[in-house]
Amino acid sequence: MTAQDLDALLTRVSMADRKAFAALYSATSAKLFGICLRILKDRAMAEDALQDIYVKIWKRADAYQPGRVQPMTWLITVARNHAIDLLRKRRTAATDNAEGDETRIDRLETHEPGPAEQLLQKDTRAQISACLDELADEKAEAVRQAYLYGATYAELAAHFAVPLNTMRTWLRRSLQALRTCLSR
Amino acid sequence: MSDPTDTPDDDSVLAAEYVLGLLSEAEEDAFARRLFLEAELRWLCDGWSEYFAALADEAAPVTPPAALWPAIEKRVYGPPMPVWRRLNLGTAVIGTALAAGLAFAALRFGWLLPEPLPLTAELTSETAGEVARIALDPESGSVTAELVGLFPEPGRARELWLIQGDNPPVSLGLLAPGTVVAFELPETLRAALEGAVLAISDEPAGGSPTGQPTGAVLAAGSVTAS
Repeated sequence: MTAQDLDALLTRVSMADRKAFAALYSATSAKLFGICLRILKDRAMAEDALQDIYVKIWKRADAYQPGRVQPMTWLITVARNHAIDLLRKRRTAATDNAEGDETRIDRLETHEPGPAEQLLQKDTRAQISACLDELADEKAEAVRQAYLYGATYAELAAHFAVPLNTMRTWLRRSLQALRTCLSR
Repeated sequence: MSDPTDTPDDDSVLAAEYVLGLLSEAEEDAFARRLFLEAELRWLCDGWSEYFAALADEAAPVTPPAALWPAIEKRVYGPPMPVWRRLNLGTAVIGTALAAGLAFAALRFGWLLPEPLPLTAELTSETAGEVARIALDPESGSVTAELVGLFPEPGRARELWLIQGDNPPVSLGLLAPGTVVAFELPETLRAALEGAVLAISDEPAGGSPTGQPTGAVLAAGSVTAS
């Protein structure tokens, strides 16, 4: 299914079109379930999460604005943020950094063009992989852990056995390097 | 950012931290306020979302268990609603649909007629469950039909067929998604309705061009006394 097809389906879902919602589920549920499993590493939890995610997609499809991010990115972001929230709730160490994913859906809500159009032309996946490869292994690992497991600075600091401030400086520098590489 | 070991403030990095969910609550609130006002920041966040989503894309797709979809539908749509509320066709047709729904309810529950239609058929598909509800009256030849599942793709139609014994299918007409439509059976078809088979086929818009089903048979069911 192309990005245009998904765009059209999401638009119809935002108008409460049930048939479009069923089609969207068939087209995207395996991808989002794979992501839930990857993040949560627990089948029962991933199944519950996937239900919540599609309920959220149904309710919040009007927050998706074509052109700002690609439709799959929007769906993945909803799924990732939900799964991360569950993970963080499960982890007591993460209390310093909890965030409801509603906020992060909301911030995609305004009407305006975004980078999706430009990025559409590039292979974002190959690009981010290549740029992460340019970082030192542990630094790339820290970025992946933050995105895929919702690791906080405190957790990353514990994992890499460095002080919190060092961890933060470290990761911010990695993100800067990543940004420089991605904008090449 | 008072720590001198911090790298200089950089909106792009801040945006990445925001998207990753690494900011403290206070930092995040402050960033969210700026985000609301500054299009450039939103652009940066969207860009990072795009790249980070590509990381999630590394996860292999896994088909979720079949039971999940019905559970989601139940949560999203709630308990079954009255026929005229089950539409999602937009407000333009609600009036007509409401009238049709009421007419159907009237027929079905006997508000207007003393008796409900004596014969019914529930057309089901193995994959989609109930697809259409049909009621028939052999006396008057009146048939009401409502398509409740397997709605047609744009440019396609759902055609209802009556199959009596070994006879070839006879088209009764086209079904409308979520709306009750009425047909009149020719007198020759009114006998031997009980036990006959009703089937729905996928056809081009406007119905089968040949007078016989041309597309896949999507659902079928027998006519029984109600």
